[in-house]
Amino acid sequence: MNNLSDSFPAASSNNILEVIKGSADGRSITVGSGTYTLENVTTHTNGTSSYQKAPGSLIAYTPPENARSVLYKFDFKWHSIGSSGISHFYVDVDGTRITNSHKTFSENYSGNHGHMHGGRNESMYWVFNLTTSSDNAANGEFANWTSNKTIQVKFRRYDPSSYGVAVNYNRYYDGSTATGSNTYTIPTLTIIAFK
Amino acid sequence: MSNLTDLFPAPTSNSILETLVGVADGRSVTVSSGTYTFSNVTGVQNLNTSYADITGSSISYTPPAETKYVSYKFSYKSDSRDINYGSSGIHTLALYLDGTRVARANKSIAGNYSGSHSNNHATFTQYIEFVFDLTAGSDDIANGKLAGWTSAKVIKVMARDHGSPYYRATIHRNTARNGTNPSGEFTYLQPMIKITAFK
Repeated sequence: MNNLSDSFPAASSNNILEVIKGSADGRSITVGSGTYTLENVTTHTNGTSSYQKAPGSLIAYTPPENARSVLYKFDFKWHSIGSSGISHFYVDVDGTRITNSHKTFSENYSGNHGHMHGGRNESMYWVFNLTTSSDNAANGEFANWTSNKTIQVKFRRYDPSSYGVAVNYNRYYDGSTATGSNTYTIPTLTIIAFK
Repeated sequence: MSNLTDLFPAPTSNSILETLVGVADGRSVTVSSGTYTFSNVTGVQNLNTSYADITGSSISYTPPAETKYVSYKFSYKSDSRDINYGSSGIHTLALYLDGTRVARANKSIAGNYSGSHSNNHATFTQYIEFVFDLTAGSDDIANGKLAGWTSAKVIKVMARDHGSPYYRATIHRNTARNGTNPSGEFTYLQPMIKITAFK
């Protein structure tokens, strides 16, 4: 038997099935598809010449049964730690790089390899398509997404290190070198499942 | 008479209880938890080395019953200040809930140094965002955790700029428009607040 609400739909409705949104401080969030625990970010992370996880970006997620697309969005603080801070980011799903999620961030060259003042909010995102007939993880397409997939953002700095970068980082806080809890800021993770 | 859907809600529904969004132009917006009036920002704001409220960021908010999380996002225009040649416009943001600083939301924002104390071109939209967790066993506002939220609390952002006279900041400002200097209402941009309550 169908639900009555299938026959008598709400007068106004939208196509959002569920939203997970939280500051990455280790909290657990319960939505229709389950309970999800965000990472607990307590420091900043410097980029290296190899790709690594951007802390706070990781979640293992299973969308609701009738989801047709899933938005993943990671909002974080980007900061140069060497001149222009040229750096590269992408969204990874279960170990596969989503090709078209790539982004390069940088600031203007400062005239030398000091004066790395540039710091701002940035975001990485992907909208997964769940209406395809077969899986293509590199395109972020899945025909059947019925168990947890791990999504995260990976990043690296441009070589050499004189164009360094850090994530979740504050510099020059309160008009001087940042210390203690002022050296980092926690990112925000958002997942929205649409029908 | 109630709608049938009030008695028999949809089998799947999302967790958003309400979204309050508005530009700081003095408007009033009514949502399920009440009517909220936004500030009216009518000019730029030069920052100083002491913290001051960012104009347009303050709102006194009470979430609906059943709310477990409150997301607050304040978006504004960042600019370097053309005093002492400006340069990168380094400034610091601090989020406050009812007078308590939420330390983990701290942010420092700047464009890169321009190579000299001139050419202060860096200008872009920035924001501070935090999701308050209302499911805690007791209040720990400095970490953004509360054991419920049933009466009006003021959320606001304070800011200051760097102590160096060469790295000052101005916010809400447009420095160039149509290839020339702006004038009148084009010299400033009103900021935006977005609050979302989740169950």
